[in-house]
Amino acid sequence: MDPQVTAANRCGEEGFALVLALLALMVLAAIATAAAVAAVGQLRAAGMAGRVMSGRAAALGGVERILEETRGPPRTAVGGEAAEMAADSFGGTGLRRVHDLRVEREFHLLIGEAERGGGIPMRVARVVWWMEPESRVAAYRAVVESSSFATAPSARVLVDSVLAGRVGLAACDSLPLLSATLGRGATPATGALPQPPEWGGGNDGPSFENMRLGWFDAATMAALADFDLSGDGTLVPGCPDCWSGVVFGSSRLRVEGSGAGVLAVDGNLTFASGVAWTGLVLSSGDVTFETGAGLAGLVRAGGTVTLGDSAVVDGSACAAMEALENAAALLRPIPVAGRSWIGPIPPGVK
Amino acid sequence: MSRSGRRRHGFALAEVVVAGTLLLLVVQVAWWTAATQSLVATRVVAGARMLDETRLIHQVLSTEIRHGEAGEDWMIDRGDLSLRAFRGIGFACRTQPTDGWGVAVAGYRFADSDKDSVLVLSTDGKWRASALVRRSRRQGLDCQQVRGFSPEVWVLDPPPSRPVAGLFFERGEYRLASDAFRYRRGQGGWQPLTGTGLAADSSAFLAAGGRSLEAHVAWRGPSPIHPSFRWKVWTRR
Repeated sequence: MDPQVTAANRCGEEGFALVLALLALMVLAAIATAAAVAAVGQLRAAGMAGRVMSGRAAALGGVERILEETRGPPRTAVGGEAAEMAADSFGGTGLRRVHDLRVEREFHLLIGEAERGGGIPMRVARVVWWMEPESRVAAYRAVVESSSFATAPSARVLVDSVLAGRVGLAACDSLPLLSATLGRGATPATGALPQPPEWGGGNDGPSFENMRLGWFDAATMAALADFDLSGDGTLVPGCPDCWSGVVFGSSRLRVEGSGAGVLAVDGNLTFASGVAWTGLVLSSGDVTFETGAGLAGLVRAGGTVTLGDSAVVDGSACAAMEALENAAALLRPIPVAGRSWIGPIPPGVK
Repeated sequence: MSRSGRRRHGFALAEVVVAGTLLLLVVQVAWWTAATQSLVATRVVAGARMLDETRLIHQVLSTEIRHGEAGEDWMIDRGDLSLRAFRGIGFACRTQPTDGWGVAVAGYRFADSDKDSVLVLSTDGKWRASALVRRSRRQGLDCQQVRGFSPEVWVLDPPPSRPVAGLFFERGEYRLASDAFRYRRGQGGWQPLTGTGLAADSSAFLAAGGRSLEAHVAWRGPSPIHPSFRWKVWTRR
């Protein structure tokens, strides 16, 4: 046997087997790689989708949280710089912020932005209504706005100092919106009810039909009230000089003690003889002032306003405004009725 | 030397038989392994593609439905999803020009007066639709600075009264037909958004409840996962 030939043959056989094995491995590796690439692609896509969903959910949650927790008047001015309402972390590596843009006096845009762990910064926006006492009071066109009005000869509706101060009440004639509306000449003593969205349902839904204060309907005011006197409750305020916030009643409410605040009644309201109330009065039904009862403020009623003997309604926009300013429960952003989430806003730029 | 040569020749025959058998066995096993791997890989790739395209349909539908009101902004019309496809938003700037509505705008694309309308929210709380007659970039407007928003002037018909914010949109339709998920703008042609492979007869859009859309999507072909998907998307309130 020629050792050189034998070695050459063996080399050739080994090389062929090796090439075959390598080819087979290459085919298998290529197939496995294709599957692995597809699986890794899925993982990446699912991971990114997860981070996007997480970011969007955090942004939405941030806006909802602001609506749930924010109380008091807005810090922003119309057209002014956006205010950062919240900035916190979530899920370990996520960051989120909520900004408030005041677009109109009572309309704001809350923009929530969140990003998690190298994902895309997601943004959402919601239009909210945030009550401004001056705007609410400036929408009045008379001291008493109602479907009808009846008065005893000795009763009076005073309109000569609607923007003037009183004992314990500051004047409000320097406020531009109030001066531009109620400050132009003499404010009428009585007037018709305004159109939606000041009063009545319109297209805003049946919950606004009987009574409303901006975008607060009767049910919302009942839920937010500092004192809820539903049923045939009788209110006896704790102190005559302190603001009671929002006092809500349904059916028939009889006020037997003097007090101050926003008095909202989904039904009929009666002020007992000698009672004096300061602030804003809203009623879906009739409002009756018994003999000698008085009000310093403004009245809006879906039914008849009746003034008994010697009853006095002292028209005061300042009292109505101060009642709203002291109704802390109403100073909060709420989503506008109907469509409030708006978009799309493209993801933020890092 | 000669004995060794004879033995070598004798073994060569046996070697041929054994080697041939082994080779056949190896080739068969390798072929079977490759074929099986190939089949599995094909299914994995097909499944991945199916998931990608289903995810795309889900993403598109949820994005389109999220900001619309059922019945007003979107509806199912003969199996097709007909909608206002919102493409961006604008909010009122602090100062307003005399020749239109000054807005700070952001969106997936710029508003286009040839194909877009605008839904405008006014201070009375109402949303009203207006035609976008003209839009122009306007750098001098005094708008609140928000990242990604740029100032523009929109001329709308009818002009809005005390506008707060606006959403610009185009009219469009989605359908699950002709083997693909398709979209058309206005009355234009149907454009595929996915590859073919959709089982159109088993796929459909259904209105579910007052404000949600149910999508049934099924795919043809081999797949390691169940080839049909069903989900709901909601209008956010």
